[in-house]
Amino acid sequence: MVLLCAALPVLAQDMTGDPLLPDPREMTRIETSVDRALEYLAQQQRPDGSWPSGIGNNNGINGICLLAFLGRGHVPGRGPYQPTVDKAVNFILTTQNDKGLYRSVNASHGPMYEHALATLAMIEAYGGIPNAVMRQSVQKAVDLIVNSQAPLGGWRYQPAPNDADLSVTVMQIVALRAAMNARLHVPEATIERALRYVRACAVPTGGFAYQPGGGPGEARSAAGILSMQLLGAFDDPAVTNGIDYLSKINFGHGVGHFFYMAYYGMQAHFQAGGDSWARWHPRTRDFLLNNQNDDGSWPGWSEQKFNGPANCYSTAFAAMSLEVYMHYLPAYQR
Amino acid sequence: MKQWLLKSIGVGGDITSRVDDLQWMLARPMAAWIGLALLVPVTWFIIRRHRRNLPHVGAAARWVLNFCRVAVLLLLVMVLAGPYVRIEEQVTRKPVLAVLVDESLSMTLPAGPFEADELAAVARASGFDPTNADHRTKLQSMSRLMLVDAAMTASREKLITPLEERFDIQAYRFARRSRVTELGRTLDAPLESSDADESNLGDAIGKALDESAGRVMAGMVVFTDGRWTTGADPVSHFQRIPGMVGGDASPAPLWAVPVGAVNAMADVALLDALTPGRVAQGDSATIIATIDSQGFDKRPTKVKLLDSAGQVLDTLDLTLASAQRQQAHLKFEAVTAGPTMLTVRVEPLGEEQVTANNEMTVMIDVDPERLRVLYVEGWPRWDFRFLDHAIRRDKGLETTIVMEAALGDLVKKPDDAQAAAAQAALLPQDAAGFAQYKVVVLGDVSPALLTPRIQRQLAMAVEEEGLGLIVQAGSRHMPHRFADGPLADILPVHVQPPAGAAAADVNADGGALAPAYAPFQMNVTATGAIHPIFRLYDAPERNRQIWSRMPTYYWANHGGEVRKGATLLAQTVSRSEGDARHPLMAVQFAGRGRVLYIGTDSTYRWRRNIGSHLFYRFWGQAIRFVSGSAESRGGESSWMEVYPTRVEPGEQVTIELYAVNRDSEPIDVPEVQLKASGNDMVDTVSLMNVGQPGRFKGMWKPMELGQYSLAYIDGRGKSVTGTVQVAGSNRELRRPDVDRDVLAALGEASGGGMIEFDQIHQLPKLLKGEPRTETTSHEAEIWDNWLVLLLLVTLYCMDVGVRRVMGLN
Repeated sequence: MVLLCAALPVLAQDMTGDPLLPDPREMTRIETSVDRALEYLAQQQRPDGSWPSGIGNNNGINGICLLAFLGRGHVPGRGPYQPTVDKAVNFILTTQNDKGLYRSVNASHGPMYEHALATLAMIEAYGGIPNAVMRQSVQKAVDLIVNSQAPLGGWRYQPAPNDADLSVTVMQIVALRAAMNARLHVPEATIERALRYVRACAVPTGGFAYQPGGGPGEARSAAGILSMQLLGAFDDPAVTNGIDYLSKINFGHGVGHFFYMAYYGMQAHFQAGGDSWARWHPRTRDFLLNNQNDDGSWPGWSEQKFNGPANCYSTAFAAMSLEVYMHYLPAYQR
Repeated sequence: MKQWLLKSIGVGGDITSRVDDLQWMLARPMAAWIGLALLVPVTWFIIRRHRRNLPHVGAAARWVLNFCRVAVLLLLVMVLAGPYVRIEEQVTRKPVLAVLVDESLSMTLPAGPFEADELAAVARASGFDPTNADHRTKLQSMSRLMLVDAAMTASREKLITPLEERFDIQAYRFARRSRVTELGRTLDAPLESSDADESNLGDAIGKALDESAGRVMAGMVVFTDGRWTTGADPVSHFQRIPGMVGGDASPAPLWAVPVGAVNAMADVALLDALTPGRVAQGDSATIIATIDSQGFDKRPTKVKLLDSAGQVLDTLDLTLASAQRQQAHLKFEAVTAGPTMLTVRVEPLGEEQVTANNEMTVMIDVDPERLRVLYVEGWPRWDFRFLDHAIRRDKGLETTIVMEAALGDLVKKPDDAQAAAAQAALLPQDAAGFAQYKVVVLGDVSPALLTPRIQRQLAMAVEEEGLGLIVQAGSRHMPHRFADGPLADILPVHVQPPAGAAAADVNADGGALAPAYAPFQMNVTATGAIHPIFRLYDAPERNRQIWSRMPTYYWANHGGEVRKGATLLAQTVSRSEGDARHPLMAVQFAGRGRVLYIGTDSTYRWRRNIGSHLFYRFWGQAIRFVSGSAESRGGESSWMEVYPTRVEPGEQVTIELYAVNRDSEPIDVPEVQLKASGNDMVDTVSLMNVGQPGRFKGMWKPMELGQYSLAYIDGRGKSVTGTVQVAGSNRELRRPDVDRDVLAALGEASGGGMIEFDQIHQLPKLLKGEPRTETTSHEAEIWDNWLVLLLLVTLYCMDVGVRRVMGLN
């Protein structure tokens, strides 16, 4: 009987198996892994709706944890994680100041990293919260990003139009792309200048630099490719060269900012599609599935400093990397 | 003599041959005793009377007359006593064993390639000499069906005879349909291709179970390659019988015998070619080919897209990866308008034994003009964000979007006030303005934007101008806050207004919480499965499986009942409500226009694990289906719409007809008939009135391949027609290897299992049940038959004859 119970789901899948859909056994493994991760994150959430991190109470961590739930299709107001998602949205909402900044209680280098991640999460959450308060909040957050763009086209740590680097810029671009999807007001000139800046960071031999003229890095190359794709420059040589650059790296947690790279790498290769995606996603998938802890979290490895008392940073990024297969977040639709 | 007598009194011939004991009985023995007792004095009286009254008659004649009278009376006494015979017989009852042999197209494939050990075992099981090189060669290339026949012939003594001694064997062969045969007998007549191109194992099992109903069933043995391509899930036959699944109590354990080699044959198969269904002329479309291969790892090949003339339209180089699904994206430039047949072909490799699965023909409709669509949405919910993205990429649509939430923002920005006014102006204010579009999609829009006056104009454009309308429910406004307005009158479901606290809880945005169902699964109805909106494949069952397998939904508007004449496409199935079902999607005609209601705002959930393919296939087809115009659906002339226009044999076609009389008025009759013709046949199809004058709907199920025409002649003598193409599925050869996993699971689900081909001599040991001998008794009345009547008539005639001869009165 036990054997039969085990066999019936497989049988049902085989009989309904369809070439249109990915291998159901593989998807079951991925979905199970993500569900365990979300269960872990739900347990770690503080009563006020935020998550613990090595930086303290940081909206960057709160944003990616919220995105991890949204990326599995758990939208506000509905489903088994309704309290978790609603509390997270309400917490981030309360941190917004008059200028529109989702201000972290404990900021890292500067507030713009965290603000961009929180803005992205809130814009996606707005899709399930149809009220004026939410709309005004996300529009103000987007306006802040628009007004903080440096003359070069990029962004830096502080909400002021002074300096720029690719790492901060990429996160603003993803948030702006989500804003455009949500029909929020984003001036076209902002997008054009941002694209110019990212293109300037491209290294001719492949990959992207931290600032124009620098050398390439794995994580920022993944992010640079994705930001160009999200801005519509799919066929730009910098994208092709960047994909080629990433194909040669020694994939594993020894890569600097591994989780950041894994997430943006999955999204970038998904956007590229075809052979690039076919070659990249099994590496990330297998690595993450094979390294998940028994409690559903992932170890932080070299980024443990962001995790702090709990593995929320690494777990949220890993879950989001696997959620690329699920195609739920509107911001990343191809 | 005994048997003759039993037959003469009407006891069945089959019983008389098995009679072991006979008992002659009387139903009313008392009547016999009294009758006989009375007969003694009556006999004395008759003899005395004849002697006194007929002294001139000779003694012999007088004794004959005495005999006749007494014999008649004796016969009457015996009839009154009710004589009958009780027959006892010994009957041996055997349990039924159903043997099902797959004779579909895939069974004509070679059974090999076998490994050396496997070849030797199969050779022994099928009567070949494993040491004989010719025999080995012959076995490797022998078809799967011929291998089964060879094994049946070779194992008559060891397998079939012992089985026949223990069981009543019911033998069937199955493909699309099942037919009765004899075990071990090869059928001479080959199957027609339209019958052989599907394996309907579920139907065959159902037939075997039905025909053995009321009898003990020892089990079923199925010889197959493990692929069933149509019909009900075979497991469902075991699940529906309480206590049967996997239990020893199963009265019909199934033993699956895989026919074919364990190792998959080297093969490249084109599993699927997914098209967008429709594209606009001048646009380009991507056709996604899914390829599976075995045994050709890292071998290069080409994937080609060809038109109906065989001209190559696109080519992709592909390096094969064994045992992996690969996808190739081919480009199609839509140059010519109309239905276009395209062939996707993976170039066969030299060693491939099956090349029929290397190509697939698909159809794309090329629209001559772009459809103008107005999409009015309340706020950027996720469905909007995905649909907005998809319809902007659909070059067959020219879409105008009005976002209600954005209007307020724009107004607050002084520099964009002009833009706000411009966007607000995009919403038509009268029916003529709406009629500039072919389709209007309404999202979660508020009554503040869609005022009663605008609703009336919109409804007028739908009813009189043939505008298509899609209404997608939302949690704030749609359609519950329009319950009493003109919009609700044209929807295919009755709208439920918010009740109780929700009705009073109108928030600052004017939204009120919708009455909702959650959580639920979507169940596509039988009609929905063949409907153009849900259509992915020609096979309805496959469509239903795909759509019904979607993840749990957490919101659906609490729509009321479906209106009379509307077509229900999908329902919610809520486990928390004991599998209660409520309308989720429905479509109907409102005047000349079609209206589609979608009760959930979560169609984005169809993107799970696959992206836009299903999501936009649905929306793209929905927009095209409802689109229409007053010209194509005029009120003064008849028109017909037939869908789908391409089906597989046995699939239903839906026909919708608008019919007018000689005065161009819609006819008011309960039923009309039209002719279906083609493929040397003519059929009559009845269409029933759907509750509106002139509107009729019906189904037709073509069974044979070919092109068919459906024609109706209206009251003015004008003919309206539609066409249907019936084509084979080509699924049989798509995956030529034997699927042992599925067969093992099926066997286990039934309480049986899988047994390898070379082990079939073990079947008598595995099958439970022995013949049982039972004693049964039958009773037959003796008097109610021709023999007694003949005796009576003879006695009467003898009496009358003697009297006439003697000159007596």
